[in-house]
This record gives sequence, C-alpha cells and structure tokens, in this order.
Amino acid sequence: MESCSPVQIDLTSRTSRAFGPLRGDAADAARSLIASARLAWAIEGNWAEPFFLLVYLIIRPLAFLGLFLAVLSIGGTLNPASIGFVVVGQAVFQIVGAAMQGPTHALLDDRERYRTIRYIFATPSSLLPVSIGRALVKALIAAISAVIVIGVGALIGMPMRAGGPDLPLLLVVMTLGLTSIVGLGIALGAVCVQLRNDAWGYPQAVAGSVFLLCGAIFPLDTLPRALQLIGAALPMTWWIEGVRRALLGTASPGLLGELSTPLLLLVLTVGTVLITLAAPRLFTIGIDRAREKGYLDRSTAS
Amino acid sequence: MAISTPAASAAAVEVSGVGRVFQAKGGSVTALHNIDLRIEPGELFGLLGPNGAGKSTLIKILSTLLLPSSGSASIFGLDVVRDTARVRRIMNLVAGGDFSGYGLLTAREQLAMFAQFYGMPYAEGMRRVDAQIEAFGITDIRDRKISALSTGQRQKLNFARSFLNEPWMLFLDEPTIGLDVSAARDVRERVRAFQAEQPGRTVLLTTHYMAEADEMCDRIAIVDHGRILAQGTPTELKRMVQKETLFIVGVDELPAAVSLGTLRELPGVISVVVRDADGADGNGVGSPVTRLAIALREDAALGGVISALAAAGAHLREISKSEPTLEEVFVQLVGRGISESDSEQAL
Ligand SMILES: Nc1ncnc2c1ncn2[C@@H]1O[C@H](COP(=O)(O)OP(=O)(O)OP(=O)(O)O)[C@@H](O)[C@H]1O
Ligand SMILES: [Mg+2]
Repeated sequence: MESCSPVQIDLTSRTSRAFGPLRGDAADAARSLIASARLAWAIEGNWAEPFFLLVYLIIRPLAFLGLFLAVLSIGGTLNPASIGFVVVGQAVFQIVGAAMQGPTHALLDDRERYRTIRYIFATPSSLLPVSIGRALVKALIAAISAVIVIGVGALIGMPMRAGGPDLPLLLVVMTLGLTSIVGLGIALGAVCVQLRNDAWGYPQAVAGSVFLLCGAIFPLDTLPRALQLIGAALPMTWWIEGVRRALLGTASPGLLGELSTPLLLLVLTVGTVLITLAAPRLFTIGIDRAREKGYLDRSTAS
Repeated sequence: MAISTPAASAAAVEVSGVGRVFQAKGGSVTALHNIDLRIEPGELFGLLGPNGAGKSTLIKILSTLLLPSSGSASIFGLDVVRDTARVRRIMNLVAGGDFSGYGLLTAREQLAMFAQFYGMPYAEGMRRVDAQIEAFGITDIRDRKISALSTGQRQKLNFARSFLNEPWMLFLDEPTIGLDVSAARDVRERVRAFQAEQPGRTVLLTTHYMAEADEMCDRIAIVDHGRILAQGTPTELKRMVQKETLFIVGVDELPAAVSLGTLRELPGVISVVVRDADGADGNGVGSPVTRLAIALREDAALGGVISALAAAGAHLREISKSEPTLEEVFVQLVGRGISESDSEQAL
C-alpha cells in the first residue's frame, strides 16, 4: 500500500449508472422487477412440487367454493345468479389475497427465511420493484387458480354473459384492480416491515377482514351500514364487481348494482390513481423507519 | 481512467462522532458511543472486539442498513445516510454465520439476480457472474440448487455476490465463521487478490479470529462496549503491551563463570531472568535446559549475550524470539479474552 501516491478513484462514473444502453431509474427499476419476478416464479410456482401446487391452486379454492355454495343451499338461496356471484367473488379474491399479501410476504421472507434482505437492500435497487415483482407473480399464479374456479363455475351452471365475456371491460378492470391492490399490498408491507413480532399474521388478518367486507361472497347490502361504507371504500369491491359484469353480464343485486359501468370504472380509476401515488411514498417511509429501528436485517429469531 | 473528484482524495471510510442507541424491551442499549474512525483507500482494516462490542452495528451503519443515532459517516466522501444510492454502487458486504439464499434457485441464478439488482445488462451481468464463479473455484456447483450447498459453498457464493459490482469498499462481518480451514483460506486469498487487482479497494473486516486479524489486517481497532480502545498496525498494538524485544535463550546449564548480573551489564540488555529449567527425567531421557528470558533494547544486542554465554562454556540449546500475540494485546486492553463473556470476567 503506497500511502504516498494517493489513489485516484473514478467516482463519477462508478456512482452513476455505468451500464448499458438502458439508463435511468425507470430502467433500473424494470430490471429489478423482472429479476424479482423470475425469482418469484421459481419459488412460488414450485413446479417441482406438483402435489403442493395441486392443493394450493386447485383443491383449496374449490373446497372453499364448495363450502360457500353449501351455505347458500342450506340458506335456500342457491340459484344460478347466486352461484355466479359467489364463483366470481371467490375466483377474483384468490388474486386479491395474493396481490395484497405479496409485498409483505416478499419482505418478510427475505428477512426471516432467506436472509437476503440486507444484501438486496445494500444494492442500488429499491425494495419497491423487488416487492412488486414478487407480488405480481404471486397474483399471476393465483390467477391460474381463479381461471380454474371460474371454469368449474361454468360447469356447475354459472350463467355466463350472452355472447361471451366482455374482454375489453375485463382487461381494464383487471389492470386497474391489480394495480390498486398491489399498491395496497405495498402500503401494508411498509407497515409490517416495521414490526418485529407476528408481522406474518397481519396481511392474513387484513385479507381475511377485507374478504368479508368487499362483497366477494356476501353482497354488500347484507352488511351493517358502517361496514357497507368501508366495503364501498375498498378498491377490491369495485374490482370484483367489474369482473362480475364482464363475465356474467349482469350487475350485482343491491347497492353496487345501481351504479352504471362507466361510473364504476371512474371510481376504480380514481382509487387506483390515489393508491398508486400514495403507496410508494408510504413504502419509502416504512423502509426508512425500519432502517432506523434496525429491523431490516434482524430476523425475529435473531 | 481516473477522474479526480473531491471525493477521490477522501478517506475510504470517515466516521465522526457516530453513536447508536437501540430501544429494547428492558430499556435502551447504547451499541456505539461517539465513534471516530478513518480508513484510508486500499487498507484492509480490522475491527476486533468481544460479542456485543458494536462491530456489526458499525458495519450496518456504514453499509446503509441502519441509521446512526448521532454523528456522521461517509464512504469515499459519500454520506451513508443521505447519499445511499451512490454509496450502494461502490460498496458491498458479506456477513457470516447465517445461511442466506433462495434454496430453489441455482447458484448461478441467484448471482444473476443480484447482477440485475446492480443494474447490469443481462450479458454483462452473466459475464461477471461466471467470472466470479470461476475465481472462487465453484464451477462444479454452478447449476446446483442453493439448498443443496454446504456452508462453505454458500459463503463462497455470498462472496462471489459481493464482488459482482466490483466494490471500492467491502464490508466483511465475521465472514469466515463456520468455515473450515481451507475454505477460510480460499476466501481470504480471494479478498487479498481482489484488493491487489486495483489499488484503492478497501476492506473493513470484523473477526473473532485473532490469527486472521493479525495475518490480514493492515490496521486494527480494538473495540469494546461501543468504544474504540486502541488502533494501529498489529505491530504497533503489540508494542503497546511489550515495548522491548524479548528473546528466550536455552542453555544446558548456566556456567559458574557467568552470572545473571554480568549478562545484565552487557550493552543493550534491559533485563535477564531465569524463566524455567527442565531437569532430565528419572530415566535419563532428555537433557536439562535452563531458559533465560532476555529483554533487549534492540535485536542486535543479542550477539553480545550469546558470545558471553559461549565464552563461559555454556552450550546453547535453543534461541527464540518471543512476540506478544494480539490475544495478549486484547486481554490487556479489554480486560478479558475474546471468547470470554463479561460475566465470566466478573467471576
Ligand atoms: N436491533 C437491535 N435492537 C436492540 N439491540 C441491539 C440491536 N442490534 C444490536 N443491539 C445491541 O447492540 C450491542 C452491539 O451489538 P453488535 O451486534 O453490534 O455487536 P458485535 O460487536 O457485532 O457482537 P458479535 O461479536 O456478537 O457479533 C449489543 O448489546 C446488542 O445487543
Ligand atoms: Mg456482530
């Protein structure tokens, strides 16, 4: 080590993006997102375990569907319309649950199970695209399950829209819905990463409550007034309603059904925009606070 | 091609007044008190201290994983609290002691993912991934799932990851813990080679292995209870506990013609004492040795002592230079050995 000749270090190029034709934050974020999505594809769709996938993607959602339909039949309200309502609700909620819990699970998995979060956090990449990439793949895999549930629904007499599904509406509703729910998931992740204990339980608890409030199985009208208002404020409520209209061709009975489809899309769009603006900011705040508390690389076990 | 920026002449690590307090259940814990530290570009700097000394806390702050409660720190002139994006481009870290990695990915896939997190285009990323796999001699496990790797293989992979962005500043927090002798040696060699490839690459290492610190580090800081107790080169630190040079000279027996007093009067000699004497055992196996501990002002004074002993007819059996170990330095400064806990000391 020659201390007499000061080392010349080219910090200017080293600290700027030195690589490749794609430059800029957006390109870096896209790279991280794709890399994380690949990872999620390998770990979530553990295709080497077909039995696990069978249970997770097919048996479990269908068992729940059977349960809900049984409840309807005991209550004497099993008819084609109610089957359609429940099938679509149960199918779309697979995706809602995955997208909403995805970012939290990615962060906690990386902190507690894989113990990689410190190494990812120490890269120039933000944890935001990393969490989004993981959540999107979880949602995609859940979508396979949703398609299966809908397929089974069609077999057991779910009334489909005359002339087939309204694909443009479906596409728009799915895009808006998924974006807003991943956004909520990001915000939830930002909260959970600041918790040391039982953080795993939170997204599940939130998803469970939302399930009851968003009209997935129980029409909003059957809820007490206060809960109806909460339900109406949730983007998944509108997402599921939009999918019902696209697939079944009919609006839900009651409150939600009174809204015209363009108005529904407007509500969903406004909600999505607000969430998309707020979620990354909340995420940054949450990660900063976790960094301050020292929870980023400290697992509950350590 | 080097562009001189203000940062280029900055210290590799500059820590001033850094403190860190954790809020824990039973009250607050001060992990670091007002630390000041400066590491020059190109150094391999060691942090040595017992459990809970605050070593990992300091590394976490410097590697942007944790915020300090007070003070400021920079890496090559870039503030670790505010300038995280740029710091992360020139820094990397490896921690030992826990399994990390995605069991379902192959070694190569995991490295490729990290290359992407560093913003490398795919081809460039894969080139570096393969180069590191080669450099660490883990080509055979390249396509093996992480879950099937041994501790040593995983840690080599972890090191390979840390070299992907060719960091200027590498933080190693007990990186060889749990590794066998040969894996630890491989890893140390890679770190040295990595530093040698490009002047200016700097390493901050924490370790519990005194020999590792002694062998690897240009300079060492000894820390305990969140404070730096001493810092310097290994030789400087050893000088702190032993100022003179000490030789152990063994003769078959001390001749009558020479007394300890006469030896003490020789030029350059500070002190001479009989350290121990081994007699021949009852079976006459082995022969008696008397060992003298001779403290000298400088090595050259030894010649006079040896000549005086030889002139008096003593038969020389052994000569060795006694160096204090870092362990001794540590015990003297910290008040206990590195593997003893606070409570043991209190007993
Ligand atoms: N997140 C945290 N919350 C509360 N206390 C913490 C936290 N992290 C560290 N500490 C405390 O701070 C002190 C310093 O811990 P640190 O991990 O830096 O020590 P260390 O020198 O790395 O020890 P070791 O040799 O055991 O790794 C310890 O008393 C530890 O209990
Ligand atoms: Mg430590």
